[in-house]
Amino acid sequence: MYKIQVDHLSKSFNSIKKKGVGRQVVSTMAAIDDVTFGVEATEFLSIVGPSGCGKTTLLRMVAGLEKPDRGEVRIDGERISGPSPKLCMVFQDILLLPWKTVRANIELGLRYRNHSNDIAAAVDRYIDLVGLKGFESYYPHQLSGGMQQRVGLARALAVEPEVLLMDEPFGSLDAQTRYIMQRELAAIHSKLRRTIVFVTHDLEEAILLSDKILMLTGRPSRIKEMIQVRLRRPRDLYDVKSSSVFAELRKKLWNSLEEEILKVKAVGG
Amino acid sequence: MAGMAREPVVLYIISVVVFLAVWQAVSMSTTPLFLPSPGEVAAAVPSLVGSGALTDATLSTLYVFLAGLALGVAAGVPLGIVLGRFQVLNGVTYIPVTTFYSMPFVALIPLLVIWTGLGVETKAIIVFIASVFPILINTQAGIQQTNHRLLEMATSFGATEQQKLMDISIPFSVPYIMSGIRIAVGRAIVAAIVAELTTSISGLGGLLSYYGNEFATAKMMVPLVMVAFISLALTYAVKKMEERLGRWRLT
Repeated sequence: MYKIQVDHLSKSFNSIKKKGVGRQVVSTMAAIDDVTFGVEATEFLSIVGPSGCGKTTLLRMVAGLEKPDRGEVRIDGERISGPSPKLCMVFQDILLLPWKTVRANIELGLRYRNHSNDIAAAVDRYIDLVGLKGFESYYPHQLSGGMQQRVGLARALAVEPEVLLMDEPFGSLDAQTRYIMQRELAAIHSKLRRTIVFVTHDLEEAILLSDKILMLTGRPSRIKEMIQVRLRRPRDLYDVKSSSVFAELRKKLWNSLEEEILKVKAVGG
Repeated sequence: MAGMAREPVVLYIISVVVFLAVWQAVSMSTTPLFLPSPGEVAAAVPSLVGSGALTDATLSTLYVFLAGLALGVAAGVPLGIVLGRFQVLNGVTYIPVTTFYSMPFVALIPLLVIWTGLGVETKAIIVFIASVFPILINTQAGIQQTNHRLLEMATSFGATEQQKLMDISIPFSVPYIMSGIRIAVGRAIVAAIVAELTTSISGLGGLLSYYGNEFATAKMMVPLVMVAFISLALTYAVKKMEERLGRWRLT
């Protein structure tokens, strides 16, 4: 049995266009169309696809933050109907509470999940793990983007979810910070062995980190292909980048993605 | 963290000196009845302080002001939270709240006098009516404008509605509440003086009216300066409080 089973998931949104005073046209736009896949326990799956396709929508449905129109998501065989305690989400815009310190921000998730064990000890452990020691009493605006995302990561890891959902978590970081964070995430993944579903628009990032890569088509997003990443773990991210397997995969993924991007252009989207 | 901008104290002092100089110059071109000089106003201070009139009046005005404002905060913040939280109430209360906020509270004074008489309570109620609506409206706006992504983050961690309100919406609204209080303080001091002038004569407003009727312009200017000082001090205090509580916004 898969850890996460996504079954025939479909979702469309109503978009309202104003046409003159008091007149509006409601049109339905399909975001996700009949998507089915599974993620094994401890597996790292990346979701990629052309910009504006339903990557984030798909992840939000797995997180229970968005209700699918059809289909379902099951975790350990159990159907998801809202935020599940087995899952935790890391957001691109991080979403720290600006009036709370690093420590208080990390504690937040633990309080909401009613963890009965020692909250302070758990917070300390994950502050250590993500390299935030010494920054406990800082406020978010005093930290760089990379440090802020470490807080976001610690907040999610501290509740010890079985599945970590990450929505372009490094998308807004500069190239250097991004590389460091990718390396740390890879290390954390091999240490904690959590199941991770990772949305990104960066193909190299997807190859470096993942076991499997799910390529989506342009809207409405269907599964274009599921690609296995045959690179041994633990990976030295720097060495991996110069390997021939990496180069081939990148070419393959890019060709596949480009095809979708050109299709979107042709339709005029 | 970068500190707060240093107050330009020297510029403040210069502005006061220039103001006094202009005042002095204008007063020399006219009679003390029309505009007494700063010196003549200063000379009138001892008699008002000596008789205890100034202190009594100041305390009386401050009492009315603080009682009314405290009621305004005590009612405005919780009501604003409730109205901000429940969209339905928002629709029901929109017209009355907007009406009360935008109509001149002075127009309500005759009715309030009929209902509650001429005592201190009436004055405090006038201050309350002047101050409660800006606080309520700003609190409501803060709750409604709370970053919905932050609320969603909390939802994803399984936070209850109450936790989201206490941990996210209310702290997010603090800067809004503080701007509401800043507006309310300005309105409240106006309301306190107007109440003292239009109901039973008392406080600094009462002194203004009394010396004005006597044509004792220099003496009349003393409570006026006092009102100016109080307003300045309150504005400064609220500004400092706003900076302190809204520090996380200064990014």
